[in-house]
Order: sequence, then C-alpha cells, then structure tokens
Amino acid sequence: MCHLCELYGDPTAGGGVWYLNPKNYARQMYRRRPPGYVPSGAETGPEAGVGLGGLRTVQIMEQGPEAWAEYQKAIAERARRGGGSQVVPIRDAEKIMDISSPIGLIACICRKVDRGIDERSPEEYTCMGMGVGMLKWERWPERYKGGVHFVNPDEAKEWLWKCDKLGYVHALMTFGAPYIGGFCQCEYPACVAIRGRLDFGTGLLKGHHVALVNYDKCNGCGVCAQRCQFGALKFEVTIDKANIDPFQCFGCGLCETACPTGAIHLERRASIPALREVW
Amino acid sequence: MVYGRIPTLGVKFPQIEIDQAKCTVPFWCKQCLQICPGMVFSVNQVNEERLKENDPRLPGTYRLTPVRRDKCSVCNLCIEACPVNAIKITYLEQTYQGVEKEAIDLAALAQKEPYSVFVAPRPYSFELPDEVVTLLENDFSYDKATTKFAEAIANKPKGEIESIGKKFWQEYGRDWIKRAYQLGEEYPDRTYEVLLEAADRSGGYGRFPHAPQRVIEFAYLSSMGVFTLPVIENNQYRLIYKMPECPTFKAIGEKAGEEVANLFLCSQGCLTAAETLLRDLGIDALVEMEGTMPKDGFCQFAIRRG
Repeated sequence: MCHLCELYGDPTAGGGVWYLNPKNYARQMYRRRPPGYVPSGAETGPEAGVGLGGLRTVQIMEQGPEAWAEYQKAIAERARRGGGSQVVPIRDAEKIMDISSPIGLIACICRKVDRGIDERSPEEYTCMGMGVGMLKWERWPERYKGGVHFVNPDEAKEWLWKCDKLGYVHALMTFGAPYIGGFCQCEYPACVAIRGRLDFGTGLLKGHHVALVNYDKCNGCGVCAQRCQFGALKFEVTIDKANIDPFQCFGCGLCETACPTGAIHLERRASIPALREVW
Repeated sequence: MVYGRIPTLGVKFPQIEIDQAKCTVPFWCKQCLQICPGMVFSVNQVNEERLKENDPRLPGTYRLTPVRRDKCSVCNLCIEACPVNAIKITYLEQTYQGVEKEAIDLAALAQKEPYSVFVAPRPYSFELPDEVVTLLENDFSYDKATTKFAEAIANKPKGEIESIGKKFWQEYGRDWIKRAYQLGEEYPDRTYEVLLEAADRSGGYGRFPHAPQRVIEFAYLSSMGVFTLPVIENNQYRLIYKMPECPTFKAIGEKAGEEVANLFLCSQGCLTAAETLLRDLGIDALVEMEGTMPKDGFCQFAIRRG
C-alpha cells in the first residue's frame, strides 16, 4: 500500500486514497502569536534557494557508496515520517479540484531556477497552488512575481487538461504533510521533484495506477512515445507497438490521454501483484 | 520499494567555477541556463526583501550556481554561450575556458529593457490584527463569559438553569460573532483583500468557506485562549473546525459545577454564533455538531452548504 495512504488516507472519504481525502487540503488561515513567539518561515522574509539542495547531494555522490548509503537511509526515514509528493493521473486530478479551495494558477519556481523561465501572466503560468496559502502568496515575492490567477474548479479542470495536452505530468506537493498545497505540472528534468526522484530516488512517489497497452488496439503510431517523462514507454521496433515497462511506469496517464486508438489504459497498481509495493 | 537509476558514486565530477564579478545578471541573461543539456545550473535570488521581487536587471540580485555537476558532460556549450566569459570548467586536470571575448556590460544592457518588478504597494500584513484580538478579548473572553454565566445562574432553582443558560449562551454567541464580523470588516488584513479579489475573479469561488472561516478564526483565537483553530475541512461543500479541550466548558465546570457544565448549554453559544454568521453573510448552510466536550472531549462543528 502507498505509505501516504496508510498515514493520511480515510476509507470513508475518497476511498482511502490520501489525496482524495478533503482533510488533507484543509488548513487554518490565521494563528495567534503566543507571548515570546519567534516568527519563522514566510513571516520573517524570503525563502532559501529552491533546488540548491542538490549541491550537497552531488558532494555526497562524490564521497562514494558509504556516504551515499547513509544519505539514502536519511531520505527513507524522512519518507516514512510522511511528506513528499505523488504523481496523479488527470482523472484523479479533476476530483481534487472539487475538494480544494481556493485554487490559484502561479509561476513555476522550478522552471525559473533551472531554466531561467520568467512566467509573468496567467497565460504563461504552469504551476497550481491550492488552499489558503494562496491568499498569502505575496509573502513569496520571487514566486509571486505580481500575480496569482484565481480560478474555480471548472476553469481549473480545463487548465489541467491544457497542461495534460502539452505533455506535463501532474504531481501533488505537500507542505507540512499531510497538507497538500501545490500541484506541479512538469516534466523531466525541469521539475525539481521528478528530477530528484529519477536521479536520486528522493521524494516523488509513483501514482496509484500503471499504464498497460492493449496490443490488439495499438497501431504503432508512436504518439505516446513522446509523452513519457519517466523512461518507461518506448516504441518497440521489434513488435511495431508501444512498450511500457511497468516497473518504470509512474502512472501519470499522459500516454493514455494521447493514444488515438484507446489502446492504453490505467490499471490500479494494487491489482497487479508484483507492482503493489513498487512506489 | 523504489526502483530508480543507478547513481554514479565515488568519482570526481567536473568542477565548474563562475566568476561572480563577471556574471552580474544571470537571470536576465540566462544563456547558460537554457543551453545546458544536463541542466546543471541554477539561478537564485540574493538578499531578497519582503514583499518585493528582485530586479533581474540589477547586478548582484541573482546568483548563478552550478548545482548538478554530476550532469556536466564538459560539452562546454555554456562556455561558448556565456557572453562575459564567466565560466571555467576543470575536469581530469584539464581546464576549459572561453576565448577572450569583447567586453560587454550586460547589466547596462539589461537596464535598457523594461521589466515590471513586483513591489507591494504598501507594507501588507496577512496576519490576525492585534486590535481585533484585544477588542474581542476584552468583551468576550471565555473567562469573563463564564464568570457572567455563573453569576446569572447563581441561586436559581435547578429547573430554571437550563432555560436561563440557553438564553445566556445564545445571546453571547450572537453578540460575539457579530462583533468579530464587524471588527473583521473594520480591520481588513491582506489575506481578506485577496480572498475577496479571488472570489470576484472566479465567480464567487472560495467565498465559502473562507469568508466565514476567517471570522470564526478571529472569534475563537481572540476569545477561547487558543493559538490556532484546527480546521478539519475547508472546501466548497464543507467547513469543519474543532475546539479541542474547550476552556469555556472547563471554566463552567470550575465556576458553576460539573453538573451544570454537563448540561452543555455553552454549545448553544458556538452553534448560535455559526448560524448567525452564516445568516449575516447570506450563506445557505447547515451547522451540526460532530463532537461534543462531554462525550468526546472536544467540540467539532460542521457547516455544510445547502
């Protein structure tokens, strides 16, 4: 079972799937300061650099296997305590839009720091923030950059489909687990989360589904092959069809939404014996 | 179980040095950031101020860092692309550097381009205003309310306590939340302004639950001796909040006796408050209790939209 579902799922809400549990999108808007309260985080000022954590990771890689094993242990421990993020297929993403409020489209911080992309208008925004934190987004001026474009669930779903069409993976982000506050629309390598997972094995969990190909329907057009961000799907010349490595598949469903013949479908990970514990 | 790529361990990756004196405006220039096939570089703001974006055209507002050296293949495309010759790569005792280029003042060039830097028009506060806390606490603190309640029912026959108490708490709840609402309007923090703008932009979305949530938080944080009000659910269908170990209930027990506390008349205060607020905000919703102090050790209120 997905450890985030074990920690934060509720069988009575969202069928036990942690990200369909509305409680994980709830947070207070204000806090009263006790005497002697020392402000921290967004209250004091700007954030530390996004993505600079990689500096240390690279140094540890250079130190060798022992240091790396130590580091991996720390990561696994952090993951066990909760937190992290998870890939979500578009149909679950749509359900999430109904249980989070407010919803704002914002500039992507990863693309900014990694590729110098400067998104400054609603048409350019490629990230989504959810929950009451969006009401205070100006506290992060380098991410805010002059705007949050607030949308309602219908507009949000339309926008998610636009991102899906472009080929962006949908991935949820927690901010103080289990609170879910962000919904990345991204790809490898520009996304710090996807990149961290594929290069270092950190953070991002695979989704609750796995894509499978129906070879009777696949006509070998290869459209899906451009969409996989995880190196799981390729056009296999030998059989003239798409091939998906189920162990590498993250269940984002981008191949499914692109397939013109409906040959790819998402199967629940839990229903496939050897994939049940592959996250 | 995590299946991933096998990382390269125990080898020395290329050393990449950035001459920060030359690389003055990396986020404006971004040549290396966008040409690198390994996406090695990262650009981050320096000395950022509150509510003010750094101007990428000004020297020193951003800093370039070669983070992912493990992905550097020493293809040297960045060295070629760098307009100011600021990148030097060392790998296997060999150093790679660009041929001397004509000196250009990138910062001066950048200044010529228009760029609208986000600066908040005034020093916003997103927090619970201190004035609201003081004013609400003066009139409605749980301590004062329970003292008044104990006085109101003192020496009253047992049979009358229930009706007197019910009325007392209903009036308290109504006045309490009306005052919180009024003060909330008189002291609009930036969070509230954005909430209204957001609702305006998205066809009213977010007004429920967040407009009542704000007033309820103001009321409880100011009067109930808590520093946060646990919000269990806040979405377009429901607003659910919880009062763990309610000090009002406890104070009633201390001042009027456990027997009176267990009549749980104070629940009328919280219920009336929520109902009054929804009516005043013109929101069609039902208030229910999902947990009670006497039975569960906490009170939980669920507002469900009709």
